[in-house]
Amino acid sequence: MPYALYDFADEKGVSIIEPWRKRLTNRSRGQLDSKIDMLAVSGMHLPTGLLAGPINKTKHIYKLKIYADIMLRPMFCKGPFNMDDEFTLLTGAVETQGKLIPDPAVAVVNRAVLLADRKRRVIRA
Amino acid sequence: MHNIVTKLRQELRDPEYSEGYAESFLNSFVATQIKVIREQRDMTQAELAREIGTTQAGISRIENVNYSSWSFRTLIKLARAFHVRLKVSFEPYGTLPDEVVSFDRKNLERVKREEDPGLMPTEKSLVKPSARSRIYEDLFAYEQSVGNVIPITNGKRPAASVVTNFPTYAEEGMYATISGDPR
Repeated sequence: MPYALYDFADEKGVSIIEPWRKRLTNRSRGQLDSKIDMLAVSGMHLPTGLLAGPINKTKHIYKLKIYADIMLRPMFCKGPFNMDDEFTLLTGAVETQGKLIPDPAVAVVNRAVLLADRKRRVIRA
Repeated sequence: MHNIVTKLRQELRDPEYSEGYAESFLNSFVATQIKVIREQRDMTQAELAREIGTTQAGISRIENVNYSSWSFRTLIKLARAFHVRLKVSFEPYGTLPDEVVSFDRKNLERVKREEDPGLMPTEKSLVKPSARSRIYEDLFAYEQSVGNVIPITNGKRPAASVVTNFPTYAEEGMYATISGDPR
């Protein structure tokens, strides 16, 4: 069953994920897209270890693990409007020395903003 | 899904992107297929581990999409445990988008040797025509001797496929695949 994927968007309705993604090397972007496409095609349960979480101190934030030239850890949530068949990418992130940058609190805030305003996301291109 | 295919066909033209994408997909594909076939065989991770001489934690590790240290030797052991063959093949990048969008449990499952339809004997390969005719005669005589009435229409004996519907044949595996009229 295919899943719908969304990017968190700024006030103008522009994805905040795409500029982060474009700053990656081509190889890392390929690795990232492979995992994102897999999430869109088969969800989080068929491929073991695709999404990790919920991240400590959050209830709804998951990280996608990509072992690229840097440790990419974009943060997702299920839904948040339809929990069964959609995911929203809340922030791009990396992991350095066991620490997520930015802090998962950013993803928590973005999710709350989205719940208050459905227009703060765009379908993943 | 169409969106993924269109976007990928464009992006995979870049050499570094395509390598990163394809290698990540390969790892995810192999890891997930091991898990899917293990579950299809109703095996626990511990049972599979015993079959190939490793630990449950070892199986858990290779079923994770982030695993990438594959060994040919381990993959062959897994193939043997699953009663399937291992196929390693170099492919062009253009075939990747369709593989990505067809990534699901059903497409990852593989039938084991014992149930493989490609290995089922065909009528011709099982019994030579001359032998078939002889077997048919034996079957016919046997059914008559045990009192089963086989209908004869227009003075002709029934097709062997009719004869094989009798219970005695159905229980005898060697006759079960005979069909057609050998007269």
